[in-house]
Amino acid sequence: MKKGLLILTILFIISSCTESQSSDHENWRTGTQGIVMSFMQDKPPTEVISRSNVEVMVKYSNKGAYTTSPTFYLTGYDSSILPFGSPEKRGDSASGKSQYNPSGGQDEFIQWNSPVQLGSLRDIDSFKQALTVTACYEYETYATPIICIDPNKYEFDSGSKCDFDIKDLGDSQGAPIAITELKQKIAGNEIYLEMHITNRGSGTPFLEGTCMNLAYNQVDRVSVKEARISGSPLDCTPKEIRLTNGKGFAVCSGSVSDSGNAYNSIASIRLSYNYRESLPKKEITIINIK
Amino acid sequence: MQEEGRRPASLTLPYAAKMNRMLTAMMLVIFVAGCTIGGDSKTDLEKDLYKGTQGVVLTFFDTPRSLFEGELLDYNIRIENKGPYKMTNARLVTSVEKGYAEFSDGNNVHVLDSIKLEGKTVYEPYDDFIITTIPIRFKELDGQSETHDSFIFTTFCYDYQGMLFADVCIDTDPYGLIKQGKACTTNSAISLGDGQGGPVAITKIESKMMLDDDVIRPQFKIFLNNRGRGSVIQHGSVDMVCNKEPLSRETYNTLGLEEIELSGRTLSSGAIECIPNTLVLKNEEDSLTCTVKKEFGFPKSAPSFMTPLNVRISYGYTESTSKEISINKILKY
Repeated sequence: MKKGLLILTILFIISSCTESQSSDHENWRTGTQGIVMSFMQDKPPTEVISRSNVEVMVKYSNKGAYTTSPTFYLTGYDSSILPFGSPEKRGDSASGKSQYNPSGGQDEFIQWNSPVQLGSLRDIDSFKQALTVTACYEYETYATPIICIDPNKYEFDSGSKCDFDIKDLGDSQGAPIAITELKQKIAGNEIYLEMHITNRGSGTPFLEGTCMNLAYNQVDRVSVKEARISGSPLDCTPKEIRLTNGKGFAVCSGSVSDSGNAYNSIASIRLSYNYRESLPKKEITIINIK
Repeated sequence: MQEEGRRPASLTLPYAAKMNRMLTAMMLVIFVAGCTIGGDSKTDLEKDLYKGTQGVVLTFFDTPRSLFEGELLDYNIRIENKGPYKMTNARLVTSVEKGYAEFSDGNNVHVLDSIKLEGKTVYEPYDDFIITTIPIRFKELDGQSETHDSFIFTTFCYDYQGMLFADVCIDTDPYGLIKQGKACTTNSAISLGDGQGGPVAITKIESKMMLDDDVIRPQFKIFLNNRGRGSVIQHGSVDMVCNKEPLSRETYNTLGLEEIELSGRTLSSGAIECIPNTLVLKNEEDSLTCTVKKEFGFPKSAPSFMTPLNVRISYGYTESTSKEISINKILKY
């Protein structure tokens, strides 16, 4: 019996060690969210009495895999009636997912507060104001897929083959802009990677311009900040990807070692962009109590 | 005996249990009912005062269709302010046929002045009213008549106002050139069919956002309509209309545009211009176009927002009614 118990205990310890090892390798760069935000319940309320203040509170957290400091803009209201002060508020640095925190950052809060100034509208019974909050933040998508490089890919009797799947890319990388597909072409020591990206979030990526005043030619742009394979840089065209219907692509090329044998190598691709996302507007009714 | 002894024992315990259950059930019912009544007693504030097209309403109490000579009739009228505006400068003129009826002072015209009725408020959404009693004595008919049909004429004049608060969108990107999550977009036409609590209603607003260099100049075409049964008179002309004084051409169908306000820009301060600047009803309707001046325009770089457009008009109103009464001779045969 004692022996049996000892064996069971040892087995249990071994199995738990194995479990923890596997969780260490869990890919935490997944998901399509960046900054996630929502109005706090009843802030603002649907009805406000003119004697009380209008309080807007937004809860946000970083559910993506890049640390950023978002800026929030409160819009949709008449500032002569609701003088919220500066509609722009800078949030604290919000850390996202990491190896040790795979569920994303903590909830943080941002708020605006304003009295109701009716001025000469003293006879009004009630009226509506539409409030919406827009978040703008810098973000990056970082992917490290494993690519099989086989310089003799097209030779019929090549000896050591590896499969040509690109591993560990997934369909999202913990950011609203996702690298959805990588296709490789190889010719001698030249490799070509065709990279397809998709805007999987509900917002708009952009590179230049004022967040709240973006012209049509400024939106849906993503920059390829870095692309490497086996540590060697790749040259991407275009460097600035323009998305059409939320999708776009670039082709990156570079030299790889021509040792003759197939081998696996880690590629690293980093996309950078600004991202703008708005909450659905919340309509509030202000009731005038003289 | 045994049976008797057993029976109470077997009946008493379930009976007590039943009683307990019934009491518990009754308490629960009372508790639930109390909660329900408490829930129903919750009252909301009146959020929409400016609605309807009635204004001030006169209701005549039932009067006999015929009566005898020498009889005294108490002519009762209820004057009720159904709108949200204070009724001022009101005058009720009642007249009867000279020689057939008279009021208590011996005249055939009775004037009731200084009637004031408050408008509704958010706290007091009830209609303010007064009931006035005017005694009318019917005179004896001449010896040749057995009956005579006479009329009681009533004319009521009062000064009133109209106020519109319409939620409009200041759309700083009317052509959608800027990619932004807009809080609102311009409605080309806002229908306001329910009126604003007075007989003259602003029925529709057409809005346009005009781009003028770096600013947006909102323009509103405002349509008005007399929805009541009476006539519109110039504000302050009650003394003329409900009196014997002569009338001028402008007395009827003329409204005053008191103010237009949009996000701190007002007509009185010169930030808004309106064409025409006087309102004259033709076939009971009229319209005017108001535009924010360029120097008071909204920067097109600012985000779109909602704001109340306030339009204030003033006018007088008059309504007349008549009631037919048959005077009968007291026959001595």
